[in-house]
Amino acid sequence: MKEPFIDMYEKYYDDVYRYARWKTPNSWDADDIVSEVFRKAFEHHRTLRDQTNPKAWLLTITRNAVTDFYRRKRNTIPSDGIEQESGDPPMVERLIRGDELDCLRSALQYLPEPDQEIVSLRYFAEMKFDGIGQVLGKPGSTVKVRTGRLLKKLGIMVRRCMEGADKNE
Amino acid sequence: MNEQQVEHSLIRLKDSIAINRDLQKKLRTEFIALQKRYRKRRLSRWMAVTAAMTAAVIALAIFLNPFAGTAVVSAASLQVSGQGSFVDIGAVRPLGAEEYDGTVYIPVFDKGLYAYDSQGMHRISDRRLDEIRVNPDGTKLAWASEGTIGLYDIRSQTWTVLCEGGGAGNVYYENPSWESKRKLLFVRKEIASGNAHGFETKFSEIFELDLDSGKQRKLADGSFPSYSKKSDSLVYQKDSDSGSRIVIRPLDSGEERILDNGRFPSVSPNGSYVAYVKTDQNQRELKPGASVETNVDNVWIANIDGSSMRAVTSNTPWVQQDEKQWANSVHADPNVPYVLMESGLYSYYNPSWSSDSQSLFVMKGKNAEGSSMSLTRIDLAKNILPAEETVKAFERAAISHDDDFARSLLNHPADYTPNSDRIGFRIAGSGTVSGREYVEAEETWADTAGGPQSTVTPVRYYVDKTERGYRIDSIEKLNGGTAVRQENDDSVVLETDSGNRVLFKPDDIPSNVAPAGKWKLASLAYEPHTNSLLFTVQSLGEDAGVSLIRYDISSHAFQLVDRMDHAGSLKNLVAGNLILSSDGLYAALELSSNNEPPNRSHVLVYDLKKKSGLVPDEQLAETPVESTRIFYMDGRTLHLTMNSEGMNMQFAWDAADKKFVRP
Repeated sequence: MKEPFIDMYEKYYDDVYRYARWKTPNSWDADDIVSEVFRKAFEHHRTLRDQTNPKAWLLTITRNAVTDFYRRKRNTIPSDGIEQESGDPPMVERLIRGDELDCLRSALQYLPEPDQEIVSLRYFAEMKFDGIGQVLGKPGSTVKVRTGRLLKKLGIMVRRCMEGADKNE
Repeated sequence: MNEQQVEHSLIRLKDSIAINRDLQKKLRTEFIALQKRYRKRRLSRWMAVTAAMTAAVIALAIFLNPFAGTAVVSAASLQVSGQGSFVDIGAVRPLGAEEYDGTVYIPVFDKGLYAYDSQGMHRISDRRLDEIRVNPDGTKLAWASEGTIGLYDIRSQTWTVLCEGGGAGNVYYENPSWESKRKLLFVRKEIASGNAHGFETKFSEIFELDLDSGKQRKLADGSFPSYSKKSDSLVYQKDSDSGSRIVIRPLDSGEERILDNGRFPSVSPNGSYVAYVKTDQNQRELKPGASVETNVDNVWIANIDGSSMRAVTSNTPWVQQDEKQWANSVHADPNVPYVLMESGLYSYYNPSWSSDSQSLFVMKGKNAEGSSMSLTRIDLAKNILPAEETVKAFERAAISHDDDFARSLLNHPADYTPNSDRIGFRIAGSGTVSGREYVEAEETWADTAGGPQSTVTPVRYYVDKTERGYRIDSIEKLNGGTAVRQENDDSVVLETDSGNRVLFKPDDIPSNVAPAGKWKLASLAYEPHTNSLLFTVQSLGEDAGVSLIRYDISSHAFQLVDRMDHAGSLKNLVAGNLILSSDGLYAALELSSNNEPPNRSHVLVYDLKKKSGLVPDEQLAETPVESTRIFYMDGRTLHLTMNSEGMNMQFAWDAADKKFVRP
């Protein structure tokens, strides 16, 4: 049975906010996007089918709101990226040296857009693979395999970044 | 690093993202109210839901967006929700600024073109520009310099000259502005020598330039053209012997109508409003033959159709001498009247709109000898600020010395006394007593006259709700304040309503907490909610370091928080002022280094929970920062002042998010 809007709002507010905040340059823009997302969700909640995954639904609205935000602000659409398997991780010199989290932030920027999206939905919006699959229009199993690969890639990039930092100290 | 470790780090990264709980509560309250409203309606189920949802969407949209709604909000009903000066460019010519999407472009007289954003304030070009205007999509700047106009492409960093003038000739091109992405407006002026002396303008014509075809056509006589897409009208300044006026002329009909007296008109990007500067002139007779004339500038906004207008600044006359004494000192002759001229405390120049049409940027000069020109932002909103937000705005204005804005929030502006010692505040709550609404704040003060001292004072602001929003009617200091200071005998004393008591003396600090060798107490900050004191101890001698120590007043226990021999790239540290965030989780400490010139100062922002610190100005790679100082703390946001290339600017650092945010 479909849960009441307020319950859904309280349950997923944090996930929507973190996703929006990660995607936007500042907290004011994130606030605007989150407000817009829940306003739309409130408008359309009655039409939500009982079997729909509410979190996937909310995050889809959020992704669209972020796209609209960039379209309005910069007349560009953030690239959805072309499905591709990247080669080797980028040169360590391009990564900003620093502590582990700094290296991780830098490494995330060098992932292809589809991988960045998986990271944002999985770790910042705390979605399950099937839910991510619904948002991205892919099977959950594909998302799971992809996640494993990109974690390996991130591990290599972060390790190289930190080794580079150690050498320079 | 294996996958598990990466996942663990990603989770840590997720935890570092701060969530806006205020927004969460605000939206929740609104949704619950809307849901209740739906249930109570007596219309048929479908009509009730449809009507309520329509009303709710509009109400929610208006609630969430200051300028949403099907009708344009009248200028008179817009509220000034904030005002603050954030760049002091020195005692130079005011040239204006342009904002697009969070970046403020600032031409500085005799220095070049700068961009102010979350990366600092960095010089884009050495070119000496007189004016700039950003185009509708933020990709180009139209510029004017010494009678020549051109374009600057922000992405490719290329310069183009469109019309060359000035120099030895009499023709000057000025006031470029954008009609559309591919059409420019500008002014062509011919200057001639004046009859007696100086120069006079023979004519000043407004032209439209099509950037694709290169064709120009004359639109009107005047200056400072600005275009409103909404009404397809040209807005400009027209000068005559009786003064300057703001004129509006639809491009198709050619009929001029006067909007108001004023100068420097600027149309908002959404085409709905015009901002301009207007001088209010008043004359009062003090006695026969002796009168005072005041000419006070204010920034005004008006609806493009002229239906409504209001001043958005609260300038007052600059009274330099006692009027009665002056009147008594002059030997007034009705045939030769004496006039005492008074300007405003401030003068304003070149207002421009933010790209979202919700803020104004204006150059503000203080009319006192040797004072500076500062770039000021004025924020506008449809809804009145709630009482707590009004008090917060007042606190910020008072601390920042935006005294005109602070006064505008008072019922009795004459009672306002500027005070520079407040360094932080926290809203403690609100309520009503004897029918009077109030907001309580805890204000943190620093006294720099004597030794280290930290004072926290509870204050009650009584507020009135007016048409113009909440106004502070009176301010009352409450009992329960606390001061902690170091006395002449080096003991640290706590002063409360019930008297003074010695907390500790230097020898009381355990040897495993105090640094080895000689040291002195440098600064302290009292944290009321944990009833503790955070203080810094400065090691003396070579390779100086700073220790951060906490003293629990209830348990008399000392705890070493950190011992720092370096901060960022700084070594040989010297501690300065110390302040805490209102939740006690972050500290900001001014630091300098014995390895640098004495006036070079930095600020360390320290996370007391994670026991790690960061020097924000080291994040600004492109800004040549000469010195950074603590300005004040607002919640978890630290406001800093930075000196760079002879300019003083304000930045805000979010201690939780570890990034610069809009001040």
